[in-house]
Amino acid sequence: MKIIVPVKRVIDYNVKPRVKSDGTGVDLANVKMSMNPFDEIAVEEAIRLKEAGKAEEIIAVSVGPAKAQETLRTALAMGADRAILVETDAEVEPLAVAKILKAIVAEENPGLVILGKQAIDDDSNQTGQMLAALLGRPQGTFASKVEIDGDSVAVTREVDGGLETVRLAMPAIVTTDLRLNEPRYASLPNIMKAKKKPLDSKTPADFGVDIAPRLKTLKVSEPPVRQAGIKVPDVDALVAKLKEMGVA
Amino acid sequence: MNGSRYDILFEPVQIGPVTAKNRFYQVPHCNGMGHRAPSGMAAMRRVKAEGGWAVVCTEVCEIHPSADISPHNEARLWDDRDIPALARAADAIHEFDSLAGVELGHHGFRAQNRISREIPLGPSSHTVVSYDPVQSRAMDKEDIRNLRRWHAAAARRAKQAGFDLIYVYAAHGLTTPMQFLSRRYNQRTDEYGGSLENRARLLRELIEETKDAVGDTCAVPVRICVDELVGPAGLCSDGEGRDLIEMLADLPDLWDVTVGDWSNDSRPSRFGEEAVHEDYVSFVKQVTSKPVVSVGRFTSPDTMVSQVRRGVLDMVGAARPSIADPYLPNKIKEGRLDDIRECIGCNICAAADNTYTPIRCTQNPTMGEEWRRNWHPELIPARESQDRVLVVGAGPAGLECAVSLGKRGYEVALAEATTELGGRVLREPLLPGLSAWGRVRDYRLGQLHQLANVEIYMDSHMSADEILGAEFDRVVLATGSSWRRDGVARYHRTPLAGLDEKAIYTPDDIMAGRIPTGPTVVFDDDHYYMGGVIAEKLRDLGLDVTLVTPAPVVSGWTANTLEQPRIQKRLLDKGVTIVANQGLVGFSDQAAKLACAFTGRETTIEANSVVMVTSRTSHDSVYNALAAMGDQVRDAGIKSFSRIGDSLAPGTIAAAVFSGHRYAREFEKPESDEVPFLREVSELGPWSARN
Repeated sequence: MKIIVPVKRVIDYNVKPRVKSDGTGVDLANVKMSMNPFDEIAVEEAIRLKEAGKAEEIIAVSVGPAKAQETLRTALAMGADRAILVETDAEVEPLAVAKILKAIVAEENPGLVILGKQAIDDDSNQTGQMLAALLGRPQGTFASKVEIDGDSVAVTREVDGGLETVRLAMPAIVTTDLRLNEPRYASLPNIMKAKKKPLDSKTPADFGVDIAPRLKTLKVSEPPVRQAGIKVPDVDALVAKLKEMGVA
Repeated sequence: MNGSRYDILFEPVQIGPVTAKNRFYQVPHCNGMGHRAPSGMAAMRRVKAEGGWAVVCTEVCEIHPSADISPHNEARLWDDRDIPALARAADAIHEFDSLAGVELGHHGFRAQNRISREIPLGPSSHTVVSYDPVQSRAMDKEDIRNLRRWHAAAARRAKQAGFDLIYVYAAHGLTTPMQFLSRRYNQRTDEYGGSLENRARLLRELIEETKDAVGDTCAVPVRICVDELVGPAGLCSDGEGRDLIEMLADLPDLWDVTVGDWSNDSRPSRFGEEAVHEDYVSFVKQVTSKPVVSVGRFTSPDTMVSQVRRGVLDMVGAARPSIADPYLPNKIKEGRLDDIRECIGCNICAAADNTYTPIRCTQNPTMGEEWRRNWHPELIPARESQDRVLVVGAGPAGLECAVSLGKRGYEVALAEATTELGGRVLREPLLPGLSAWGRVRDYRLGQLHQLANVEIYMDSHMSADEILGAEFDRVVLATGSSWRRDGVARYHRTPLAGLDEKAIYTPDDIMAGRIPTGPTVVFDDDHYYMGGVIAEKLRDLGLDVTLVTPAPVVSGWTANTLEQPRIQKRLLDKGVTIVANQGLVGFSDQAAKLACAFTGRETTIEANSVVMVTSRTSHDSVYNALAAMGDQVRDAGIKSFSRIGDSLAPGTIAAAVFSGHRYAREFEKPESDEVPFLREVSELGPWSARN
C-alpha cells in the first residue's frame, strides 16, 4: 500500500508574524519557514504505519514555491520514500490543492492520504475534506489514533464530547490532530541522505488544474495592542468606572 | 510605544537641578576597569547611555590616597590628573542625553591602602575587613576636617570632569560616613559618636558641603544603607535606618537606597528573587519628597511598572540588568520585550571586579569589550562572504555562535545531537537554585527562531564523515564536555586508583537522574558552584551527604561571585556535613578514605557512593578525527574547522558564550601574533624625579 502525505511550507511556528504595512498579508520576506506542524504529524504517522508493515511506500507532496523542496527534503529525511513538488509561486487555496492532490491520487492509487488537519498559516482546515469530497472517498478527520485492519482503517477522533471512533473502508482520507503522535526530527545526516531520494518536479498545469484564487483577501491586520490599565482605589470606584464604561 | 502600560517608565524625573529623561537609572557599579582602563570604562558606560538609561553612574571613585582599595580597580579623583579619565566617561554618557553620575567614596577602615601605604582612617581603631595585618586609627577632628575638604575638592573635580550627579556614598559598610553611622564601628564619645544625630553628623556635613561645592548645577544623591541586616545592633529599616532618612529627609537630591553589604545588594539568583529588597526599601518614599531609587535585579518591565505605581520607587535602579542588557530601556520603549537579554544573577560580573579584571557577563559577551575589541551588544558587522557555517552542538557556545553568525547574515546550520537545545544551560537550570540560568538558553532560542538563515537540526549527532559530506565551508564544534570520574583535578593530577567504579557518580549522572543511594560523599575539587549545588540536591532528596573538599571552605571560588557564605550556610542549615581541608584518596568497600590536605594523615568515613565534582573532559573526538583526516577535509570544501566553548577547554558558561561570540565575530580574520585587543599603557612619570 502507498500512502500520500501532503506537506505545506509555512511560516515557522516560533516566528512572530508581521503584517505588511499595506494590510494585504503577512510579511514573508526573510522569515523562517518550516513544515506545517500538523503535516509533520501526518508524515510521522505514515512512517509508523510503514514501520509496522502496513504500508510499502510513502510519497510526500507539496504545492508551493521552489523552496518547498526543503520541506519535502525534511519529509524524506524523516522517512518518506519519494517526493513530488508541484511548483508554483502563486498563492494556492485549499480547493486548488485538493484538485491537484486528486490528480496525484489518480496516478498513484494510495490506500491512504494522510493530511494535517489544517495549516498554521491560514488555518483553513479544508483541504482534507475537499479532497475526500472530490474523490468520493471516506474521510476520518482530526485523528488522534489510526489503526489499519485489513481493508479498513479505524480513526479515533477528538470531538467535544470525548473520543469518537469511525471505521473507514480504504482507500480513505485521514487528517491529523495534535495528539496523534510526536513526530521525529529530520536530522542533518538524514537530510543529506535524503538528497539522494527521488524528487519529481511538476506544475499545476501538468495536472490541468486551474489554481486561480476563488477568495479575495480584504484586509489583514495585527491584533490590537493591549492598552495601559488604570488603578481604582476601591470597589465603589471600580463599579462606578465599569458603569461609566458601560459594562455594568 | 505611546499608550503602552510601560509609558510610566519613560516619564522624566527631576533630580535637584538636573532632569533625568526617564526612570531608568544605572546605579554605580564596579567593573574591574576603573582608573586602570578608563577608556574601557567610558565605552562601557557609553553603550548604556546609548541603550536608553537616563542616568549612568561610574563605579566608586576614591577621593584620596587614604581611600585606596587596590588591587580593586575603581575610579579615582586623587588629584587633577585623574580628571581627564573621568571626563571621558562623562562625555561619552552625554552623547546620548543621559546624565552622568560619579560615586565619590572614602573607604575608611575598609581601605587597606595597599598602594598608598597611608594609615587607614576610621571612626574608631579597627582591623581592616580583609586579613591584611592592618588597623585603622581613630580619626581626630583634624582628620575629619581633612576628609570633608578632600570630599569637597573631589566634588569640584567631578564637576569639572562634567558629571551631573555627584554622590555622597554611605552604604555597603564600605565608606567612612557609613562607618560613622554604624554603632558597631563608631565607638566615639565626641559629637561624632553616641546618638544617631551625632553619628550622622559627618554624613550631614558631607552632603551640605558637597551641595555648597557643586549643588548649583549638579545633583547630590546619597547612596545610603537603610538596613545592615544585623538587627538592632546596626541600622535597620524599622529602627535607626528609618530614623536616619526621616532626619535627613530632603537634604540630598535623591536617595539611592541599599540593604546590607554588596553581597546582599547584588544578591545572586540562587539566594534572591527580583525585587528582593522591597520590604526594606518601601518606607523611604513615605518620609522624603526626593526621588528614590533602589535595585532588585529588575528585568521584568511589569515589575518595574509595579514598583513605580505602588510608590516603592521613583526610578528603577539597576546594575546587573544593565550589564546583561545595556539596551533594556530602549527595548521596553520599542516593545521588543522578547529581545531583552535578562540577567541570570550569576554574578560573574562581580567576580571580574573581585579578580581585578575587566567586567564580563554570561548573557552579554560584549560587556567589557566595547572599547578594547570594539564590540557592541546590538550591532555586529555584516558577513564578509557567502560561507555556509555548520555549528555542531547547541549548548551556550553553539547557541551564541549560531545566533551571532545568523545576525551577521551567514547561512548557518546548527546541529544538536539530542532532541533538546541548550546543552548545559538546559541541564543545569534544573539543579537547586539555578533556574534563572535557563535564561541563557531562552534568550538565544528566541533570537534563533527569528533568523531565517539559521536552520536547526535536532537528533543530529555528526560524525567526522557526516561533517565531510554535509557541504559546509566552515565547521565549528561546540560539543561540550563531561565531568570526570577518576578524581583528576587539583588535588589529584593523575587518576585515582582503586575506586569502586560502580558507586562513583558525576554531576552529569545526577543531572540525568541517576541518583546515588545511601551515605554519599561529594568530593569537590572544582570549587565553583557545582559541588555545593550537587550536595544540596542530594540532601534535598533525603540522602546523608558529606561534602569533602581540600579547600578550607565550600565552593571557594564563589567568594568572587558573592555567593560563598550563603552557600556554606545553606548546606549547613540543610544538614550537609562539611569536611574541609581533606582530599579523597580512596573509595572501596563502602569506605571513603580521606587525607588531610596539610599532613596527609588518613581517616575513613562510611560511604555508599561518591560523587566526583572534580574536572571535566572536553568532547573532542570529532575534532580530532577531522584533524587526522588531513587534506581530505580541505578536499571536501571545508575551509576551516574549529572548537569553541567547553569542547575546547571546559570553563564557565560565560566563557562558553564569549567563545561562541568571538568565533562569530573573528573567524574570517587571518591568524596573527598581534595582541587581540587595545590596551591602555600607563604614561611614564618623569625620570628626573628619582634621587
